[in-house]
Amino acid sequence: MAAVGSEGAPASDDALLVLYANGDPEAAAELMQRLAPRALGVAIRVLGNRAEAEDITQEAMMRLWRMAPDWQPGQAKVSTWLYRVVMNLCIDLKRRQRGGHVDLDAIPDPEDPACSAADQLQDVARQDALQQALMKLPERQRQAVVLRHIEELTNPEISGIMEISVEAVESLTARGKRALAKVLANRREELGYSDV
Amino acid sequence: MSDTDKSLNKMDHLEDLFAAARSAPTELPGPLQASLLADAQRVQQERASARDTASETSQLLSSPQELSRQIWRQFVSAVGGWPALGGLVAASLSGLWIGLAPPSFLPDPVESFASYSSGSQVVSDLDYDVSFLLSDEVFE
Repeated sequence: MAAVGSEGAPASDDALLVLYANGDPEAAAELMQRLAPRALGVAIRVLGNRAEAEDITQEAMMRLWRMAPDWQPGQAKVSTWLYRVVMNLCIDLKRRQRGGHVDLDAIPDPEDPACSAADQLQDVARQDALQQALMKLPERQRQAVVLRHIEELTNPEISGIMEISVEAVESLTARGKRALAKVLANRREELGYSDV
Repeated sequence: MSDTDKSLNKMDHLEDLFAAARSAPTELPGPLQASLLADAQRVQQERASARDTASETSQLLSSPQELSRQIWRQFVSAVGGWPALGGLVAASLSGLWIGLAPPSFLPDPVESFASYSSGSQVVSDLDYDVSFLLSDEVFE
């Protein structure tokens, strides 16, 4: 059975990918169950659009299937590879939508949403509020915050995915968190939090 | 409450929101699951058929006898099968036989060709106009 290793432990993503490349049909289903929800979740958080996120997920998984025969087990994590593909696809999509070049190094400070957040968002769940706050972050900050605080990846992993230094990751996540706190500050009572 | 305390409190709220986001895993919609599996199977099948083709080719190349048999089979198939090939061989042999030993009512092409004494005679028999044009310039 594809999902179980030789000693009864769950097979690693590496092993499943090798099995898939060798023609095992069950390996594809298991890999999809493990990886696709994470890819979709990240894409939704980064893009803020479920339909686009589903398209990105399908394309990323297609690249995974095609890459399977060339995969070198043990050299990297399959999930990290997939996150990188998803992030790059998200960036490409945003770039096409803007119809021009996006300077990834130019990360402006977030705008002060104090006057708009509380007025625009009413009677929404905390998750919706978080998503809306995330969408107010610059793209790279949003990616870093999602990978660090929702996907719980390590800074070195994020560094590999975003192809920036660990220090840059730390800076992006710190600035992102501060910006999120600022965005959500006016909604604490609405979201059921109090200052006391 | 100091500004620092307020700031820390804001971050606590944020951690709560992150924790809530982590605890709500993303569900894959059914149609997307079906598409992903279909993609996976299609790629697997493409790879399997490519592997089969490569394997057949390598078998052919590793055995010259098998390669020649394969070429012969393809030739017979292209001609139209064994009956057509039999007809082709019979017609070829008949033509050769008629050429070498023609029946009495037909001119013997070998004899008539051998009887020509020069190139100009061959040309003159072929075409009057050509021989007329060439006779003065070439065969003087």
